Amino acid sequence: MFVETLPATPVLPRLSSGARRCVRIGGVALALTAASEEDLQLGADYRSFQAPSGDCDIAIDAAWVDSLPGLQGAKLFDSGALWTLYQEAQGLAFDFITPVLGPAPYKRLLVDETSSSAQLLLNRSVIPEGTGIFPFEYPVDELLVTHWLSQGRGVEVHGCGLIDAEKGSFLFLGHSGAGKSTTTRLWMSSREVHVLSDDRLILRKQSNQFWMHGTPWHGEAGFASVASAPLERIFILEHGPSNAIAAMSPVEAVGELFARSFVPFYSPRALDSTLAYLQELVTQVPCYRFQFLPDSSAVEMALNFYGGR
Amino acid sequence: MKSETGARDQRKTYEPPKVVAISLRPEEAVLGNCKTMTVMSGPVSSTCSTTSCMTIGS
Repeated sequence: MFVETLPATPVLPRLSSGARRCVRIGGVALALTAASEEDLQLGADYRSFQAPSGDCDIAIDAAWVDSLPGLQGAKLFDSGALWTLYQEAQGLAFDFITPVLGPAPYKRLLVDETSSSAQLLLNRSVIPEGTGIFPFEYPVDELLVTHWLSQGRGVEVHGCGLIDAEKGSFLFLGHSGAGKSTTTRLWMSSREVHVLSDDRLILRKQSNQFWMHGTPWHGEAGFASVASAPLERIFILEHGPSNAIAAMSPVEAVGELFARSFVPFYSPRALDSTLAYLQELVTQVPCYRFQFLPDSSAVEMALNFYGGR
Repeated sequence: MKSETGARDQRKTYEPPKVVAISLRPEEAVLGNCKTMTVMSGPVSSTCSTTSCMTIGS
């Protein structure tokens, strides 16, 4: 597995230590500190992902500031929506702006070069008083985790993952509209399954085996499990005129997986690392293209195909 | 010892490289938009249903 060597950049200085809360997503431990518990609220989906305090992979300090001065570094990427990324001396800086609150950033996320420490600065002059603060709210949570993973540690993918009590794990990857929620519901209605997620999963290698992990970031069907399972097979979901499963070449599989991955596209290092990671993954886990009909016959097709291997 | 003819027969047939276009979805992949903008219907992540989320658009 390729793991890039990163510059020895010092972690960002600590801002606050009054309250601390930890979550673990896909085996990635995040520790959040702030001056008070009020600034550490977690969304309902995070409750089962809370973890005991201990060593963490990513330390995030959240703090209020009176204002956020303009950034001096080069603009690396404009998401076209909520955030813009800059290269600053101490690392990466994400500025979050929404038309709802005007042209000034309402918060800023500073991340060091190793993605292991971050500061979340909340702009008191923009965020209305009394607004509940959810430090991990989308997309801060996913940005932090995907950056950390992209250093040869794993990849977040767009799909639904489930464990069939009889046949083992199935990962169905797909863009929005490809049928992830439909697939989840079909399997739920006809099989004894545990759904890890109906929208986003984290794939990581542990003890020489690839695993898929549930995340709090669910889709329409609302499934978000803290559980994980060995990754046994991957299907690329496509609606089709009939049910059909076809094996993919490694090159094709890497391309299709990459297209359904969440990667820091503005970082050549992250792209190299993620492509190498996916290349290793497809040599260990069989990948198939799955054209399916949105009915129970699709479940039977996947089960019988597995049984015939 | 294998004959030259036998070795030639065992060679794989040359397949020219092919260019295959893979469709990306930048509006989904860059984590820039609220999921309610990319998910066409149904409930969304509860992080997107919090007061602050609805207020400040994340």
